[in-house]
This record gives sequence, structure tokens and C-alpha cells, in this order.
Amino acid sequence: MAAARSCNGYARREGPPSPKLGTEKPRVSAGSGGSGDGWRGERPRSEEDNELSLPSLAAAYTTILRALGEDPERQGLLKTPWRAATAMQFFTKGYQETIADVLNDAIFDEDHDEMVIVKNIDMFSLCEHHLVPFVGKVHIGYLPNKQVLGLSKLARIVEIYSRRLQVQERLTKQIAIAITEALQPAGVGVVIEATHMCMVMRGVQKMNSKTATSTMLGVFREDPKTREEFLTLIRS
Amino acid sequence: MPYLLISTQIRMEVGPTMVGDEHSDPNLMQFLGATKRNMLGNHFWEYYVNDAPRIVLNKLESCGYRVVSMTGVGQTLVWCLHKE
Repeated sequence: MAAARSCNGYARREGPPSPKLGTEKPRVSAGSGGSGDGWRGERPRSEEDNELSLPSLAAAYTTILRALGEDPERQGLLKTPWRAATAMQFFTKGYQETIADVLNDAIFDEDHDEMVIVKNIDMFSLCEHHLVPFVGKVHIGYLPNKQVLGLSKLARIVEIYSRRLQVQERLTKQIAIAITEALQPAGVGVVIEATHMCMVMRGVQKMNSKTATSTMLGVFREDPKTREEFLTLIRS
Repeated sequence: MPYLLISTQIRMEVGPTMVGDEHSDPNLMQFLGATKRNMLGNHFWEYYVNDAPRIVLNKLESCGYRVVSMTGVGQTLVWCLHKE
């Protein structure tokens, strides 16, 4: 378990082999070792781990309640440690899944090379610094290179990475990298706009502020016109 | 291989400078101190140096390359060089 524990990072890459356009691309197989995330990631948590760690999580929440000055024995809080533990496991269920699980059957060879955009994907994540939610929308666009992805799978990729202890910048990049590694498209663009409860409920307490991050790869990075088309389409 | 294209983006006072593509002369790339890389998302390899373009142009002149033309493409500055 310790060896497979995810740091929710991604390995620094020296430079992947460049795929030759027009030749058949091998599907990336799951579990082929390597970094702790993405295609080759091992699942750092399983359903079994969830059940085994639930009692200790609940006990930890009881300790927290007591340390906060509450009485865990009062009626309203009796089952709270268990509920909070289950909820936290749900909020971090992204650690139980890998991209390969989700995507292997949904990559299709299609002679399509125009932009595909899925926008306004709702995203709920946890700030890793305060363990407080940040909530927003994700817009994804990519230019296929003879391979397209099932549209719901883009939302599933967002789910896998957002249901973790996250930083918005890293989340954006992980989504873009996952799509790039899966499809080797001509380019990928990911834009996230989110409201961070850690800024709304505490600290500076600015309710109307939003954080926007973007990652552009391939032609989305190199070609201003492609980027402009993507940004225009997600705005409208 | 008489022709060479080097480019930089936004400001010419600072690098990185792109000095070659996948099929560039490896000896020349080594002379310039260039590193080969494939940026994530791109389907091509490129050679780059961290030096400003002026440094690269001076190095290339010392081995016989002369600037033929220069242009700007969007925010990219491109120099075309040729060696007799």
C-alpha cells in the first residue's frame, strides 16, 4: 500500500516518443508500471481499503469534534464521525480509479480532425491546503488526430482528477495530460473556472472572486487561431 | 545542408531560441549547444538553446552561415540563414 500511495503528482517527463501520423497507435495498456498517476498509475486505494480504514477515519473525526469543543455524544453528532468519514472517502474517490480503467474501451478510430469541445462540466474538488471545497466548471477542447474519445469520458477524466486533494493548477494540467496521453491529438485545451471556499469562507473572505486556469498543449499552444477558436466557443 | 531557420518568440533580447528540427545536422546542433526535445502535445521534435538569438547568430556566422532574410509571424521572429 505504501509503495502505491499516490502523491497526486505526475512524473516529470524527458520527452515521449513522437507518434508518426497515420500509423496505427497502440492502445496504452493499464498497469504497465511507472509513475503513480495517469495511464500507468496503480490504484492507491481500493474499495477494500475504504472499508478497512473507515473505523480509524471515524475515530479521527471524533477526536476532531472533541478538540473543536463539541460533544460527540450529543444526538446530532452521534453518527457524524461515520458520516464525515464516508463523505471524505467519496470526496477523494478519485484515488480509487485510473484513467486506463475508464478510457480503454471508449477510444474510437474516426476520420475527424475538427475541434471537439465539451464545456460547462461541473467540477467539485477539495483544496489540499485547507481540505475545503472548490467548485467550478471545466471546459475541454481537443483537435483529434484520427482518434476520438467518447464524450462522457471527458467528464469522467475530470471526475477522476477532481475527486482528490487538489490544487486547481495541477488539476487543469492533469486533465490535459491525460487526454494527450490517451489520444495523441493534435492539441488539447483545458480551462477551469472555480470558486474556492477557502477564499470565500475564511482568509480574505471574497465571495465573488473566481480563479481561472488553463492548459494548452499542441496546436492550442502553438497556433493562436486555434486557441482563439477554442476560447471563443467556450465563452459563447 | 545549406539552409537554417532559427526563431524566438515575443522578445528577441531573450531566449529560448529554436535552432533546429528533428532532421537537423546533429554536429551543428552540438556546436550550438542545443538540446532536443518534444514538448508534450506536439508531434514533432525541436532543438533549442537558452541563448538569445543574437548569440546564436554570432555563433552561426563563425561557421559560415549568413542571414538571408528575417520575418515575423505573429509573435514569432524567424531568421533564415544560408551557408555557401
